[in-house]
Amino acid sequence: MSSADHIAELPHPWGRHPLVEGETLALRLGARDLWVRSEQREIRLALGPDPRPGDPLPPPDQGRPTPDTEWSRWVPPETSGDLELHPSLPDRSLVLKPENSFRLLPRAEARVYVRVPLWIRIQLRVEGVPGGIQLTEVPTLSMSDTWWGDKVDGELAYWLPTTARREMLPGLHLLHLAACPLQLTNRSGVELEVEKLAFRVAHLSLFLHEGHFWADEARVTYHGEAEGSTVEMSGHSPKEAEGGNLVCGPREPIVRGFRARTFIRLRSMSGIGGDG
Amino acid sequence: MSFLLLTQAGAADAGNGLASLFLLIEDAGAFIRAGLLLLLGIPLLIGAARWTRTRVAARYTAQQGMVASKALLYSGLLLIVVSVLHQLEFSLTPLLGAAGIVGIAVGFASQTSVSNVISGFFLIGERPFEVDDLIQVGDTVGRVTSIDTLSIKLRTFDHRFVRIPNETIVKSQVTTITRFPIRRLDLNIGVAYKEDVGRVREILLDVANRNPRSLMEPAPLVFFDAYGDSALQLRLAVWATREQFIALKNSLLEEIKARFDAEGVEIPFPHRTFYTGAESSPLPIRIIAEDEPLSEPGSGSGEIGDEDGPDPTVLAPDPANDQAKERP
Repeated sequence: MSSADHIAELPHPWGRHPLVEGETLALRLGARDLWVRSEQREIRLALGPDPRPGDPLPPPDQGRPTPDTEWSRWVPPETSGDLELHPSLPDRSLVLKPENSFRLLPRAEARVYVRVPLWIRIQLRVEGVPGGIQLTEVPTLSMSDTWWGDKVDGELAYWLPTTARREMLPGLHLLHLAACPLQLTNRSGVELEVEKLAFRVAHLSLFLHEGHFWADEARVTYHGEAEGSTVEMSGHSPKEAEGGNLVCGPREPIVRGFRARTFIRLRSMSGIGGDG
Repeated sequence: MSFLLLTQAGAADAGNGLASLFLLIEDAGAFIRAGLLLLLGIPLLIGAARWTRTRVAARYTAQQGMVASKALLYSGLLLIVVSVLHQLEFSLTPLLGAAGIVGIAVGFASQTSVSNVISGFFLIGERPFEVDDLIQVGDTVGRVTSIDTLSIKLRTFDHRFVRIPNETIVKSQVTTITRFPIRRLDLNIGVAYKEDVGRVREILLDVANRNPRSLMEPAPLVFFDAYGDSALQLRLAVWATREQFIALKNSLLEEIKARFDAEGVEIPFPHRTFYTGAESSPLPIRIIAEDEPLSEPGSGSGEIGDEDGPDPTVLAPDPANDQAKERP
């Protein structure tokens, strides 16, 4: 099932938008304002200020392009049609930082929910081009960069403070966030303090269920300090959103049960010390 | 009989002529083959070397692409030269023998070049840096554009071309700035002695955490470095990816200044305090009118700081200058 099959089901402002010559289309997802204009056979796009996690949602009547707003321009082919906004998951791994770290006792399991900001894929329908042409992709929330792992061989990731909820109540669903269930299991013989967690969202798919976005379940099993963790993505909608429709597949193919350094305990990665 | 003899002589001449012609044709053929080898072989070889460089660089690294391309180019050139000499019927044996004798002479004359060539092999083997790395050699900072047999080439930020002999590189301290994916930026910041260090630390960390180019982890840190001459010396250490390093430095310096201004944190200029004996006493200055008599040295009329002589800090008119003014 491809994402194009469900474009009509996507809740507004996601989905398809006809472009009228000379008119500005104003859209808002979370705190992300974007304006699209079709003018002189060009598509012009402008973005509002970068919203950061924790910023309050702006009032509904605000959000107009100012004279300082920068516009990006594209010249589309003659056969181009409507504009489409598709949701997708972030393009890099996330380092989740629970507000309060928690401890997973030996042989214990926990299911936590993380709300991950969605990315907006802005596409143009073009006759004869299946799926259309992607103009750009922007996040609904600008997250800070962080480094995960060794200073020489680590990876660049986004930093996401989270409450790591044990329940996903209906009121918590927002149009610019996807609920991601994480099933954590401690198979080691020692207590696991979850202070930070690397969440490789590039392997996750996005599903739509009753107007809410869900990612497939990620099962993280901790085997010990030396053995590391195994991470498995279910690849289908989680039990909380059973029967959900696939909206966007994973950015990177799912690797079954790949081993990864997923947890970090109190050992900090401060800039001082021997290798500082 | 004579006719026969003539005929035979003519035949012999004709045979010699033919032989000469065949030899000429054969020589011409050898020249043509040698020429073709050069004309076709060298462009083909250059094309193959370029293709190899592109393909290997795309699959592996730019450095490996360059090494593979040069290996192909030099071995191919050697093969072409040997083939051309063979076509022209040069015997390589005496050439190699002569090369041994000449080699000794040339070796003495080209010690520097040989040293550079050998150093080049060390550089390729040790790989302290690669093509496209940013390095610093002495005062020169630039991006490596090529690592060649005799030298490496750099392109500096102000777009100058710098050639550094391989031997110099091997003998010098070379810093590879872009070796690791992340770098730490250290900013030395001085604040006035009246400031609350804890508050300044909070402000600096907040500025760093708000900057989108600063990495959240490894976390930014503030060190209290020293009690400076005019300021409390703090150091802000922030991590960034190597691509964002310069942008982070620029933006962070601007943001710190703006934030300090907004929060009323003083960045002091250098101070000098003069004492006249007692730490808490201010420096006294007395203005003397022109008609007021000057105190004689040793008269004990100095007001502050001594009992025996005049105050050396008092500004008195220079009699020499006064005399000069009175001249017509």
